[in-house]
Amino acid sequence: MPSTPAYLVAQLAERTGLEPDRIELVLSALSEVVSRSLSDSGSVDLAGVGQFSVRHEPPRRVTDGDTGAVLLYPPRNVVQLRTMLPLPQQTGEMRGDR
Amino acid sequence: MIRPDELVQAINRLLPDESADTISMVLAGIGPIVRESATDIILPGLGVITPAGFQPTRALADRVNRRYLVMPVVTLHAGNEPEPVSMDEPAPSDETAAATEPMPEPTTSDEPTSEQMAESNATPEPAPESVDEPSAETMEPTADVESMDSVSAAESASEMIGSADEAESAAEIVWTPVESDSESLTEMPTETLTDTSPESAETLVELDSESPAETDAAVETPADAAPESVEPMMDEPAESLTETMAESPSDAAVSSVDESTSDAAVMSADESASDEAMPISDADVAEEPFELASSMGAMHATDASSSVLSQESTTGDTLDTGMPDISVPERLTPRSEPPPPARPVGALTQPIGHDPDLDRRRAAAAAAEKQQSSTGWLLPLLLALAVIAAAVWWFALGGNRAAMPTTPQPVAVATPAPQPMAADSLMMPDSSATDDSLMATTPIPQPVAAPINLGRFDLNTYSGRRAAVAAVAAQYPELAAPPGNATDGWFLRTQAQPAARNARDGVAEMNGAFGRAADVQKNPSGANFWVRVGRFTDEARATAAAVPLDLILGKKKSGAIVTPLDPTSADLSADEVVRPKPRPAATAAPVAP
Repeated sequence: MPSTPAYLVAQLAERTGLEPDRIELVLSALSEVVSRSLSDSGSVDLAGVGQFSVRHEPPRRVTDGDTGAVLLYPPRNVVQLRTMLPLPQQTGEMRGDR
Repeated sequence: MIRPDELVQAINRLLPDESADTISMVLAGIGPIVRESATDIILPGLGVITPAGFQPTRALADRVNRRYLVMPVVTLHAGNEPEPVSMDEPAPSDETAAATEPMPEPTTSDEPTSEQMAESNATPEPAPESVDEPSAETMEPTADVESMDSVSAAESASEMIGSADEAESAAEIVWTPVESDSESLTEMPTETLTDTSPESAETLVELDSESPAETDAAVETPADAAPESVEPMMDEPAESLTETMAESPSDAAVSSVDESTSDAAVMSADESASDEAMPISDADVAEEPFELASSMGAMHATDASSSVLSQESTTGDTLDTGMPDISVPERLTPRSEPPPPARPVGALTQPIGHDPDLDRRRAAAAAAEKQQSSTGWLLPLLLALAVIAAAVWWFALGGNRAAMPTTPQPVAVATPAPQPMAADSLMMPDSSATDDSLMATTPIPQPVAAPINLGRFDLNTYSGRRAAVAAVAAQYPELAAPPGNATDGWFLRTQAQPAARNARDGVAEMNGAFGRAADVQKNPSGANFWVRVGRFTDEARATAAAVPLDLILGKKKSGAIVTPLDPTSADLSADEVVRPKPRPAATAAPVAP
């Protein structure tokens, strides 16, 4: 169940003692910087979270099983996040439940 | 790569009112919250960090794919259904063949080169257990063709492109196998925890829902980030990193080496603990120091050369550096010539004895020479253009005629010459019909050489169909109001499934001023959907035939939108380009007997 965007702001406000408005500004600027870097095929290392990067996938061909139509999908970029955080929900049990 | 300190600076530039400490404090607080939270964390504007991976927002996904969003999904082959090819349709040309080739892939500067891919020790790992069901997207690897289960799967896959689904499917995450030992991790320096340089990437176990074969298409090697990894390697040697990872209680700290093998790797921490252990080898570490050493050597060389130059320029002495002697450069010595005396104010602009006529003659001679030089190349250019124009004219008239079949051209006929039979003969005009309107009272647009881009129309909507026909009418106003026959109208025909073809299926009539349009039959499969615009006549309507104008608006895609018909795009196949098809000479004006 995803939390709301306000959850992170509230948690950060509680931990840092800053006003939520200021935290929202910082997070908004963070989003802008990360988006700008990723759109330029760069990567961003967010301390404590991981590294945002973009992986390029070439065009792909897919065949319709029924009609046999062959479709060519354009290439795309995939945003990925590499992190070293040992998240509590990332245990093997949780994965097995999925 | 933007490092954490650079990230703080970048944010600080956007928020000059906030101090760097405040920004660092906020950024540093995100990690612990994500780690300790039991729910998914939404990073505003970026996406959601879920156990299954990172799901970027649609805005972010669109932003990184802004170059590819405009690219349509191209139908390379229509499949089992025969193409509705009419006889007058030109045979597949080289253009068609070229269009069916895979689209050229835009190159990005950070993509791994073939050398880098070869350098990566991409030993394919055995396919681990997949957590998620493979979606339609994940079924597509580097293999040429793979089957999908149903048409709906293909459609859904196509609509993922550029949609919100893409953001979901495009999400990936790479999680570490490190068990949740917050104490040991919090004791580590921040640099160690957040270091995602290649040497630390080797310790990652990646979580991904994609199939293993797809990873071949996106091989990322440690060499990708090699330039960025020089600095952390200096700050933090590989040995220390290994020690750091060894401190974690899980043995799974060291796992795959290559990202390419881990794109599809959805492995648990236990799996990664056993077989995938691959410590950092000396060779891997020694490779980048070599580059560093070489670059440092280059720096030394530069310093040495610069010092020589500076010494030379300052002292002017010849240096004993083993190089050829360098004499004192004269250019460094100041010129001893006195500067020209300043002209007094109000002095004559011409020296005494200056001949103005001589200047005029010189100017005239220079102008004549210039004109001669300019006209010297103009004449051959004009000749070349004339030759090219003549060749084009010949090919347009004589050349085509020579290539056409030697059937006699109907010049003076009372009845129209038989139209070339289309694949769907139901659309053919009745040869027995004596319709005057079939004669060339209305000029039929001649085939044009260049395709015409009529725009983008949603043929599933009434307004879209009207707009499509209106666009054709605007292109050919002489056909919009055929004289003498007010009931003549337009039809916008969609050739759907062959089984659904009959007299009226797939035909939307646009009577008169296009005021009425029947429902265009929707093609359930979405493939092989042609749209043609033509003009009905009374007789043709009565006989369930029509005069096909054969203006192919476009090919309906699996979604609902006719693709933007960019004639300059090489990605579009020939049948997707708006191109008035050549018509036989049956439209010649009748000659009175």
